[in-house]
Amino acid sequence: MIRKLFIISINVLVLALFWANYKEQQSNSESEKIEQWAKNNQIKVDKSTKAQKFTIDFDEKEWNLLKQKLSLTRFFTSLKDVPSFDFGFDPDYARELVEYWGNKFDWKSQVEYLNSYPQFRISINDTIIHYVHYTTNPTAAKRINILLLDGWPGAFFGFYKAIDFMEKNYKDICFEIVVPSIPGYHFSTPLNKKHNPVETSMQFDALMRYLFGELAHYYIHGEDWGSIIATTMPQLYPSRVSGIHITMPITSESNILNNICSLLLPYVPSLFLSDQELEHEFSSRYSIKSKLWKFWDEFGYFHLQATRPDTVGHGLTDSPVGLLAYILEKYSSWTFERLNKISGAKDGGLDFFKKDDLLTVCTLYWMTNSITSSMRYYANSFNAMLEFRKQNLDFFSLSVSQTVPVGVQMNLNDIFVTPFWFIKSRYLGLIQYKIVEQGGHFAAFQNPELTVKCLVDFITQVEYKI
Amino acid sequence: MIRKLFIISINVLVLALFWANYKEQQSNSESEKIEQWAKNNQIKVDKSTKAQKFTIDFDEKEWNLLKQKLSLTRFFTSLKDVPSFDFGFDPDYARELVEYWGNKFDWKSQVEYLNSYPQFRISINDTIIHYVHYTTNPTAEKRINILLLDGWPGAFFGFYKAIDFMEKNYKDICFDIVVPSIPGFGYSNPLEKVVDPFDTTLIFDALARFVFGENSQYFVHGEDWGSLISTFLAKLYPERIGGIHITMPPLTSFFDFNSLLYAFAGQFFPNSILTEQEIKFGFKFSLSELASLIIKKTGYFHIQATKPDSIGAGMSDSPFGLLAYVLEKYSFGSFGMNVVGKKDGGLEKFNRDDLLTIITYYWMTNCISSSMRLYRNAFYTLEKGWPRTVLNMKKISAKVPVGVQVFQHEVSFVPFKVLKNKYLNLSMYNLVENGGHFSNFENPEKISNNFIEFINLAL
Repeated sequence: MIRKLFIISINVLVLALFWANYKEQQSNSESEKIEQWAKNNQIKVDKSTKAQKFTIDFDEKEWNLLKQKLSLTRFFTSLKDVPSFDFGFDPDYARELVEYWGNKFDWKSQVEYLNSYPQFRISINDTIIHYVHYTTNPTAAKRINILLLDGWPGAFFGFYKAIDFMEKNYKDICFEIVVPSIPGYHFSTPLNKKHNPVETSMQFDALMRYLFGELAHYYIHGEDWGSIIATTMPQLYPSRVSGIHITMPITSESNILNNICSLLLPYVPSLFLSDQELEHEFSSRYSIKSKLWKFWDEFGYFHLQATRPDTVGHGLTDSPVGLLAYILEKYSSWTFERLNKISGAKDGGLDFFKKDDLLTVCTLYWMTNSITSSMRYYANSFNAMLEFRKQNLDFFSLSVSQTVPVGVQMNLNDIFVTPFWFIKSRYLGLIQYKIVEQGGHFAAFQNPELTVKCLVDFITQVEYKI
Repeated sequence: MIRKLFIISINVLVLALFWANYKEQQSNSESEKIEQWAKNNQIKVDKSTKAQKFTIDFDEKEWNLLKQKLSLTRFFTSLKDVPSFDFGFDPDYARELVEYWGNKFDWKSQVEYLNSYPQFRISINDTIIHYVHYTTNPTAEKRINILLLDGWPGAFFGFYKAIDFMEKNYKDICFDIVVPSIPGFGYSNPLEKVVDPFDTTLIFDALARFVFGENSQYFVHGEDWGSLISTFLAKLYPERIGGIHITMPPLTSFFDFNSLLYAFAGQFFPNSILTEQEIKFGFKFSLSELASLIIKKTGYFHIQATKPDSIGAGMSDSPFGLLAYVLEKYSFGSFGMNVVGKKDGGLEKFNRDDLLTIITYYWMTNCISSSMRLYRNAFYTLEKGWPRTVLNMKKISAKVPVGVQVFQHEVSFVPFKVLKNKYLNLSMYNLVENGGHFSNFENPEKISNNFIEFINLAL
């Protein structure tokens, strides 16, 4: 019996190896197809394209309406026999934050803070894009163009502390920093049509060409959806993207070899993991069982947003506490992942952040009435992924060419971790891989200095080919 | 190459069959153990247990607050290039309903309607249970005790039309009817501890013994969660349950080797696992169909089973949010994917006041969060262990007849051939054209007739 099983397993493995090989050969030609498609579909940016300076208004009327709604908030009670945050955002803590939000939070000052970096709005392909454009140390000799991309439920000002740190600590580099908001997010609104990461990639590239010229090169730092966009852009424009630095690498789910190795990982971890990764329990965290459990525990929101964004959006559009609980739960669980740190904690760990910062995120989604359009991005992306697959333009599974340097910042408290070995199978130009022990999902928001150090180290490596 | 694959597949299948068989033998003796456990752990109901009469108040202050909130509703716009209801509840139609709700809907009259059947509240196991208790045709000779169980997002008064129909059309039977609300739903509140479907089963049986008498037999009709609880009752108390009549055989009971083999067969040879009628109705049972169901339809289930409080905050505070979330279920649940493209998601087929009464009831009892917690509770209590962890997979013994009535647009589907393996006395199996998940709401007469036919067959 055991012998037969053994023979069967070998047969299966050999089949898989042949299949993987065949798929890889296919993928090279697919990459060329994508580059060609990208060239043919490039968005024209010419003299008629104009960006408008943009300042955020303190809208007193809207602010009063928000406070009125807050004062009418209806709460519900927490379960007495369950640790707080085990069932999602704790209702008692929500009440505390709502009281602060309505009575102490100073939105006017926050608006001033949000306006501390120059912002613009531009229409590209009939889509409004809001972005920050700031130049650090303009007289420095070395010039680096860089896109900072975040995701959901983030906000562009999450990068402000990082920008400040970049300016003060790298006086010999002039960073041309662009922080766009994904269409449908915050001031990249209104958006009344579908929009997916491939389109976003094309528009962000058009934005960079508008700002820095048709032959400009640029780096990308991407978190959350930003990582996905940062992965797609070099697939489309390998000659323009100097390098990408991401916190959330996506490995190909359909790569059979990868999947087989994932199965074997818990049994022979030292084959695939470095000492550091072994130390940090990557073998159990990256096992298929662990990933499935994590997916079950944490991805209800994802499942719902990818299928029914409007249904859940209505409550969040109309109820400030609804918006707060839904969004800030992510800042809790995705920053302090190991459940024992959150479960039973009255604040779900959120006291680590400044209340004003968290409420500014919420108020920004609220004032721009963009929560639903931000969630629709998930549904749009899935539909688009299936469409692209049908056309044999499978962006989301193909590798990123070896010619594009990749740096990864692996934050240990993020939802998932991915070991170097598995990232390398898709990001062929992986040259930097840093494990950040105290880091979570919102890398730059939580750890601006550490994130910038990782990023600039990566850029330096590429620029000076160290 | 292909030959080797073939041999491999056969080997795997034979292994699986042996495994399934072995597991099945284990299960028979376990069922007896469970029945014994159930007898020993019955919740005591005695003279000290008292039920209080209950009437729903028209709370004018709360009603005005609701209207105030509605007047402050903030909306957003629908996508121009996406069909109506494709991404969930259509924003334009939602606005229409909100305007009606705040300006034309007469909640006071609805409260009078809700009070048309006698209601009570009782505390069992430190848990408040609200229930309707009504006796039809009290002088009739034939007496039948029945429990009517609803689910999420249903309401106890969904059964009112059915009760009325039973009274008028079966004058020779005295039905002693109890309609409890699941702890955390409606007036079975406040609930501040974890109570899952298993606990609910024990509580509902205690209620039945309280109302009908310690050893009396009763029949159960169950929809949605009610279907699951019905199957639990049948497995725990086969002596006292005369029979169960369900509209949604719980799919989770069928995640075992046997059923999955059927799903595997259904992938390639669908006609081999379905009856002629099932084929005519367009039902499918295959691995890809199950996967598609899980991905497309269960987003709400996923989030409610993991983070109900995160999503509950908005719906407890925004009536508009509550309406959109709940009525989306009445749309898709009743008409399936056909609603995509329809401006009203098919909902104009229903009486607007009926729909808004359900929503207002969830609003007034502030129970949306506690009702959604039921999903999380079902998983949270797994650590309590046996027999909670195994009950769902057990068969229903031949002692308890099972009647299944499946409506065409029901959310999930399990074929007759698969049901037969778990429901050893599947005495009735009917498919109904046109009709969806909320059977008591949409088809009170059809479920009543079918239920009573089932009972007569069992007696």
